[in-house]
Amino acid sequence: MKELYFENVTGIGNLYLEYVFYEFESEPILFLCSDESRQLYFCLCSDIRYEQKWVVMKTNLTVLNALVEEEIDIASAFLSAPELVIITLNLQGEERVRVVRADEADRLDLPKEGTFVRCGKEEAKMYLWQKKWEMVSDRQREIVKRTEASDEVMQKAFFVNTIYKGAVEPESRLRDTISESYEYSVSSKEEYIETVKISKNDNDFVQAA
Amino acid sequence: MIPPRKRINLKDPGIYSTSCNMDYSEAEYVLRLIMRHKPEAFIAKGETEKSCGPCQLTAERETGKGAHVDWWVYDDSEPQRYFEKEDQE
Repeated sequence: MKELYFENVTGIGNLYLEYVFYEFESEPILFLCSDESRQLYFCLCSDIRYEQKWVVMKTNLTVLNALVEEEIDIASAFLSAPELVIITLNLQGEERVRVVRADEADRLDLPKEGTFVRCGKEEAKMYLWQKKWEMVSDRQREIVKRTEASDEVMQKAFFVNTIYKGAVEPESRLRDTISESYEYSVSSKEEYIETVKISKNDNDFVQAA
Repeated sequence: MIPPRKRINLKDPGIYSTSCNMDYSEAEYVLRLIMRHKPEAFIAKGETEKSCGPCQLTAERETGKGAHVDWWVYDDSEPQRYFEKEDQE
């Protein structure tokens, strides 16, 4: 079970710790969180000396891969986000949260330019690959669920079609279809029997002749 | 917003130490990453002096701690005498 890392953050809700890229003094510094809907957030603990401060941004696997591969530095990643959530905890234990536009953020809250994510690269890549696989699997499960629901309707329609040789219709009209088909089948059957009887009589006449 | 973290392990000697690092680049990375606000932080380079207190490579107790060093500095000692400020770029 993932650890609840931030509780009831304004505009986000609860955030659960997913992965720690870098820690210092046993404190996660560069890490990943997810919310209740499994949206990912890249987090930086930007100050630990007096008050504690975190900078949080919504992110995706593309940005995370670029960070791990050192294609973009940490500050650039945060500055490219539309908005940042700044969470502070002062020495008195008072908490505060602000949502700011990235271009309005205090640059000293972010690392110096050219500072990249330092982490175990292979472990991080493996984690991101697993995350991507989870997302693909979730999407496939959604597709299968939708397919199963439509299959159920189609199977009922096919059953009716097979027995009564009628057209496939929506379930709300099935009863009408059944009664109509039933009446049709009964009358057809009776007519068929009569026809056979007449044919027999003809043969008798022929034989008689 | 910040729920109570896992309780601090008071038996962990590392929580009572001053953190040092044998790897200069690691110290520099931390400085660039999270120590940008005032008061200005800087790197001081030197050698731990045993008269100031015992020290230990953290990796001797915990795995995956690289070049981190714990230094349990005595209250009445002056470790700064054995270190010099490094000029930053």
